[in-house]
Amino acid sequence: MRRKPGALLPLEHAICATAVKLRRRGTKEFHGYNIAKQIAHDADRRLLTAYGTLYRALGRLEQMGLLVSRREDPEIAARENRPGRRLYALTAEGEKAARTATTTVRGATPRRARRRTALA
Amino acid sequence: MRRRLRQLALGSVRAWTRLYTWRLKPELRQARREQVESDLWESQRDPDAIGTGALHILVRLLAGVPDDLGWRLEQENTMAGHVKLRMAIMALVAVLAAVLVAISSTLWQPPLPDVPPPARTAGIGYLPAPPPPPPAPGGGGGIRFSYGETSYIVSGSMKPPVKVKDVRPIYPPIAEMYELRGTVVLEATVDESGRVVSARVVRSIPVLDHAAINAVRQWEFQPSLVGGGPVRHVITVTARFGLAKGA
Repeated sequence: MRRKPGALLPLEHAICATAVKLRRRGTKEFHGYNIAKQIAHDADRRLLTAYGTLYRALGRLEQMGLLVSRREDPEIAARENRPGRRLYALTAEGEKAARTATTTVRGATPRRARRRTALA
Repeated sequence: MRRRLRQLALGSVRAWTRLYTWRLKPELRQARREQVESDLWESQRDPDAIGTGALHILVRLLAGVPDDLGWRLEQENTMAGHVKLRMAIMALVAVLAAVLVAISSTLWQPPLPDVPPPARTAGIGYLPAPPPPPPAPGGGGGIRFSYGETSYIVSGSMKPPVKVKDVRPIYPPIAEMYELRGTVVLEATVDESGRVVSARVVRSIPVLDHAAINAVRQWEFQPSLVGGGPVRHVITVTARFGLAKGA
């Protein structure tokens, strides 16, 4: 299945749109669990996005230039006695993509696209 | 039983992540493992978490296996055929094991009332919350940390690189309060520019591992030259917490 140039998969679109919402609420940076929880909450679902699906999508968005990431300051993690986070932020291109992206994937039947959205 | 199944499920996620990141470049491997570990930690300690049970964890694991394998193939397109076959077999075994745990969690577990997740300010894991610390004498503000002591060696006959930026590991206050002491051993990779690009635990003390890794990842070394060119080093780091010098 080929990705149409400029198109985002449903999960990728959801990540960008949710990042825009978080930014409007004052949260400029987010980590994987954070965005997965917010996406599930907005879609009124009881299941978070799968680990592999989520982090692959975040990596793809970063490669496409729609997100940037950085490793959290290790001192903050050490102080809170928890693993360090990788923090993502939406770029200007990402914000534009969240508003204008189509969510169709060339070659996918509507049923396959629905199943892909359900798994995301 | 419920707690044990959840621990098994968490262990399955960690084992699968180690498996599909096996033999990748250290930076990629470390980054993905840290992301998943952070996700597991956050989900288990979030008081508003949507799902923390074994079944939820396993569904998140299984549904993402195709993407994990796809990501793996994207990172290293030149894997040999026999390695791909081995990866596929290991993936099948991991998926079957996860399915067995999922089935056992639904068949053997009677319905239990929902137990609220531990409060964020509770102690480590399932330890009871510690008593509040006594007020600092003189009413001084801020938190005072204790620190661990570190040393490092290079295996083989190479001269150890010279450290130019040292960061001491913070002795986590909760570990100090419970008198959790010991030595964590890490293996860290220093790249050609002198930065630590990966660190893995060789000898683990669960609460202290993160403190050691977080400090070592900030170290910087002078680039070492061998034959006119900068080289990478693999160093063994010992981080001692709560022990007297020389212990």
